[in-house]
Amino acid sequence: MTELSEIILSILLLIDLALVASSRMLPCIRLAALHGVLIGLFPLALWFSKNDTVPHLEIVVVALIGVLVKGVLLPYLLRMAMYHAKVKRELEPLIGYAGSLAVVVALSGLAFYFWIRGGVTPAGSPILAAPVAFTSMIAGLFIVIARKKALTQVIGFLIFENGITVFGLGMAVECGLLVELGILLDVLVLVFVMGIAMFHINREFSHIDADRLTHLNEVEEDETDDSGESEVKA
Amino acid sequence: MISLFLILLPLAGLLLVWASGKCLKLHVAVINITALLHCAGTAVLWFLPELDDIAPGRVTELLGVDFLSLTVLSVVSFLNLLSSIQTIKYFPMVRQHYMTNAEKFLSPQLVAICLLGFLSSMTLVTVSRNFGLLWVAMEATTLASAPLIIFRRSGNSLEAMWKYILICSVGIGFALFGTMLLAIAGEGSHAGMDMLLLSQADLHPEWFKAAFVFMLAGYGTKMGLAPFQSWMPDAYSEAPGVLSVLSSGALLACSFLGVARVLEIAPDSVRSFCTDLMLVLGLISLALAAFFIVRQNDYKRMLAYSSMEHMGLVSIMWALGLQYVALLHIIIHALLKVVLFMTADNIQLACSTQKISNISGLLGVIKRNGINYILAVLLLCGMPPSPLFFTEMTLIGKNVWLGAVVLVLLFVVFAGMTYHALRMTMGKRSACTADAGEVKKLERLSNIPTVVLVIVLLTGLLLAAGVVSGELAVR
Repeated sequence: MTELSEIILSILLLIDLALVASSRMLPCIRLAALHGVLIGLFPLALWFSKNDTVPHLEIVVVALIGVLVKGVLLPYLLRMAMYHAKVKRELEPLIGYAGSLAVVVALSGLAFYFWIRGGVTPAGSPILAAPVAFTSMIAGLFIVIARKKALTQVIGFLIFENGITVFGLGMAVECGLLVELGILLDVLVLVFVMGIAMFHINREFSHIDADRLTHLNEVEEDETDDSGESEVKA
Repeated sequence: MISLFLILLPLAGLLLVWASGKCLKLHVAVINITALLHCAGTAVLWFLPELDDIAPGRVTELLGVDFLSLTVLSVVSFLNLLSSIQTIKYFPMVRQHYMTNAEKFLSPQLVAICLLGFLSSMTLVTVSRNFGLLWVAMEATTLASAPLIIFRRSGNSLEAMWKYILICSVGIGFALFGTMLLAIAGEGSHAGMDMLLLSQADLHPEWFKAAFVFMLAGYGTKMGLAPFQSWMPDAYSEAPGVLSVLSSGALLACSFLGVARVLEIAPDSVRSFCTDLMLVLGLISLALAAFFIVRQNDYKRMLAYSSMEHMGLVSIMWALGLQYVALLHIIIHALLKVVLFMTADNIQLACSTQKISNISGLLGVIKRNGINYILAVLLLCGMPPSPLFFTEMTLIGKNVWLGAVVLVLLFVVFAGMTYHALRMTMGKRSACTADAGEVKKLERLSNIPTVVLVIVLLTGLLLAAGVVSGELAVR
């Protein structure tokens, strides 16, 4: 029996894997946007798999705002940041694409194995929901850790956060309308602030490689101040 | 509905500042009036708790206060008042300083907006009765405070901000995951604190354990607990003192409140697991902080590590069941951090460096600031009659072996901090970049720290008198 919610979950899984393996920024942003749209629609799909009636107004509102924020506004902000920072692709990731894919697939396989053996899914929810959520979280965290560009890290964070949302929806956690809108608002402002930060980082250092942001640390203290002062002068 | 008023008040101020353009005096006035009203509202809550009180067994959907949240709220409100008063003199001073040195800095309007947003979100953290709302508010504190870190607009501060926002957001993301797990642990899959409290005995222990681990990791990141602390020294060394005061005193208390709230609803069967975890993290924080304080060469970073040390101590106290002692520790630590970060700002303006090795003889350069600095460091290290002496003594007396370890670590911290502080304040006068007029203004900026020091000292003396008279009564 294949339901709409299961189809959505399968596509989410594929997007996670595609994101881990792709290097160009624009497709990454588009994939993240698609991810966001599907996450926004997921509560509606869940509703239709459980009931035949018209969904509550609350669910429709959250779904609509979710699609708007995660599918339209966030990708728009990311694209603006991309154009301002003039970055097209992730060069030299810390871990190669094939390696990344292997790691994420392996971890995702573990998540599926353990969940199907020992997990408890509430009645009416697809059994795929939790493992797919874990895969999204793993893929997102992996992107944050293993990629250098600040922009890719933001995309990774978004995927991570989407994974948490899928988990909550799949396990039928009720947060309430206010909290769900609050979470969406937080994520929106977060990406906005991060976009501005990226713009400034790019202007200051002429790159947005987060792994080269190493002026502040405990070991090379003497170098810290020298480089700091030279930057202020420049 | 005073708590709602306390949340909306700073937001109204924020809108006013946003609409008012570039008038610095108006911004400062709005910040101060908001802070005063906020303090007044908090006081009303103390005296008329029935307005927002939570009776046992009553279910409040979103907002409400109890003793714990009122205490943290008072810390937030009072610290905000102090730093607001400080901005009256600090803003114009700093503006002049940066303009003469032709350095870039954040516009005061944006600073005011961020400060007001920060106050509002911290208030929401303290009064929320729903773990989902608590999470939303906690993330909002990160977002409101992040722009303040790039106050100096240098490369280093950008780096600090990026680390702060990325590490805290991912960390807090874990807390959101933990919130979901917590809701699943309850029967109704609902994250309301009162609902969970009512079904405390029926909470699923395994789900709860998982939830606690993730929430401790998440809010622990924000609190600066050991393995997750890496953003803290960077952020505090780059942020202006006004933010560091609020962040180190109030925000850490708020994040701790998040952890304490989860522990509050822990079912008896897993409580020992949770407290053990807090104990271990607390000890690791204490040990790491001691190590970093001794070899530190940046006085603001040293203060950040000291915050980490004290949060570790608070976790240990809470884990041992010394709730009231831990709350007293939080309050006094917050007050002393007000003194230290404000003074550190003045030192930075006077000497234009953050390196301990480049500063000496502060007592000859900016005398009053120097005295404040050394006194506050001594009190912070638990030199009697500091109230921290009594809280730490209680902790050490609770468990002999743990007490011995903590005592050794506290001694290392004491040695490190006093060594650095003495090196900065005593000795030959180092080069002072400020002119006579600026020095005079900096000395005037030391008024609030002095007042706070007097408050802390009086509290300590009162405690000492209480302890002594108590012991006499026993004999």
